[in-house]
Amino acid sequence: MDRRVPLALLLAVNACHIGASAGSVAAERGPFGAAAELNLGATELKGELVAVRDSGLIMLPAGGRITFVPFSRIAEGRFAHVPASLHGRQPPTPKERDALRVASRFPQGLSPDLEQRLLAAYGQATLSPAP
Amino acid sequence: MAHRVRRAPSVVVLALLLSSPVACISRGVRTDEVHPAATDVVLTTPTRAHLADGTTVVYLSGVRVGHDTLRGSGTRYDLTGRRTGSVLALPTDSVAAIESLTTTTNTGATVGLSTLTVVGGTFAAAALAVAIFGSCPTIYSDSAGRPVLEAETFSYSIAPLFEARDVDRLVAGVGPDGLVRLDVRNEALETHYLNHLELLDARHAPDETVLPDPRGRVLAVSQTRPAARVIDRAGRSVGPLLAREDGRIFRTDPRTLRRASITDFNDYLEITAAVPPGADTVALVLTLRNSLLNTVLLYDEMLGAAGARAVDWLGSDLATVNGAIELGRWYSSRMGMRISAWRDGAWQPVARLPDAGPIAWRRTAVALAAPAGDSLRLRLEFVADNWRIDRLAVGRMREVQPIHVPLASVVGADGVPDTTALASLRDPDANYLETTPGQRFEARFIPPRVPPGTARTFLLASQGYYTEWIRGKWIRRATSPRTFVPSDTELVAALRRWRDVQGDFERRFESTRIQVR
Repeated sequence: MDRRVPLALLLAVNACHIGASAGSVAAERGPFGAAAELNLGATELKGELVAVRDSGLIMLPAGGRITFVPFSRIAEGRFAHVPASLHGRQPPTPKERDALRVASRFPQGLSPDLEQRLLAAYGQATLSPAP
Repeated sequence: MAHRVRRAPSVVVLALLLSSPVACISRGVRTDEVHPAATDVVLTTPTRAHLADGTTVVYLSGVRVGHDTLRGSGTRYDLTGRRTGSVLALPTDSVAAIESLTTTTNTGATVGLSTLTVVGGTFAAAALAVAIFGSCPTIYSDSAGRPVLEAETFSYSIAPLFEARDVDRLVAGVGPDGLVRLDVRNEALETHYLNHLELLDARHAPDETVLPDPRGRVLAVSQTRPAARVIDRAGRSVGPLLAREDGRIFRTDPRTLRRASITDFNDYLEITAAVPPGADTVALVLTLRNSLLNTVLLYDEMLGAAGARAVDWLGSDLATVNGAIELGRWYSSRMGMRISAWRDGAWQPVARLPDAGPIAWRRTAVALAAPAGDSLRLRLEFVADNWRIDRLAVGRMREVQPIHVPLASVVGADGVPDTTALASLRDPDANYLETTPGQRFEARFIPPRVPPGTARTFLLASQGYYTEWIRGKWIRRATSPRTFVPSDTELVAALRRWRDVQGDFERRFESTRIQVR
């Protein structure tokens, strides 16, 4: 997978808390979800927001594996061009959750079947745990 | 990273959910209402289609959306985001969601991004309920840690050519740090284009109340008295109901609403009030907001009935001067409130009050020439049930020249100051701050210091417009093969629909929003 675009978008995360930027971003994003930067305390996870679950985020770190990150692990979370952020290992508000969901690669959600096929496509049997 | 767009995008974002017809039906949509002869809708902007199998098709040059098929030159990506080929035709029943991401500008200078959404069954009910009834930017201030709804701005500026300047009275005061802080939110499924925000600092006598008039002037009103007599069209004496701002609210008598027809759909109040001695001008003071009839008119008749075609109407028809004028003339001649005075044996039109929006109560005053004699007779005429009125009074008035306080800073939801957003909002120019649903920021002003005890009232002047997001269920339930054409037929259709749904709409509204004055 070409992950250059999400990584490039990460550069914009800190600045884009209000409003949206130019439409070229839409085209650049292609089929991918929003770029995300998660502070997990001892480590940091940067990558693409794949999907949103009730208890956490499904992420694809650069060069990594499809990973599930519980909200309880996320000390800080920022997302490119998304009106939501995560703080203090707390889940997002319903409105922020919706914003994250619609900015993910799969805004329609991951059904069990779709999740299995996604994992298989990345050579995984199960979601990787957060580092 | 710039947050602003130069000049407004002219095409609204489209976001729809095609994968959840069950959810749409469960929300009361009749499948037989889908117009079988509906023609295709052409989206000229980059569009992404999320397929039920997890793949994605990106149409960088737009796509033709038919009832059964999406046609266009698209690039297909597999689950991993790898490009797998081209697509020309895509059955709509394979599509989970479609988003049209970008808009072109009428200047060609830039392109704005509208973030995606999937509007429909996947959203939490509470969020959707707010979205149903939200409209335009909402302004809050803080009162002991509790947000107080102050205003909704440029409520009916639904396209760039309807960009308007609004002036709203605030209850917010100066904080201990010398700042006036306002929380500006986008709580609706809309894209807001904010051009200008400034604070107006009006100094006045302690016994005066400062109110904006429909033209944005600032009036200091005093010696207000309830009207001696207020009779509505149904013959009810509603003066006591309107005597003070107490939550007891005038609304059109159900009999008047039931009788509304294509030839006569108005209600009115006839008012007799005392003229303050010696006054040559008086202020008609009102505390009011719109009912949700306007929401029904906008959502069900103007946009919903046309489904995806409404994108064209908003983005193309209303982008032309002729189209905007046609709608503007019709809307202003029907909606809002027309004020007439009894002169020379007949009702003479003297003023018009534009719609205020259905969310925040608006305190306003209308300056009127005082008649000879000590009594004033007025008629307030409006489409049946378009208004909720809490207070009506008449008083003495004078115009005040407020101090204009520019925006000092803009702070994002993350607490970080944003100088680009500030630059976009400081002046009414070609630079706009664009916000999408769920976004908020704090606008901070530094008003001049005043001696203790000085009576002052702040007002917020705002300028901008917004564009509605076209809901997925509107696409599915489109009932009209054409876009909205302003007419009384459409208005009466909205009234009939309003009669059917108002109870439910208002209950949901009351249960999902906290009304604060």
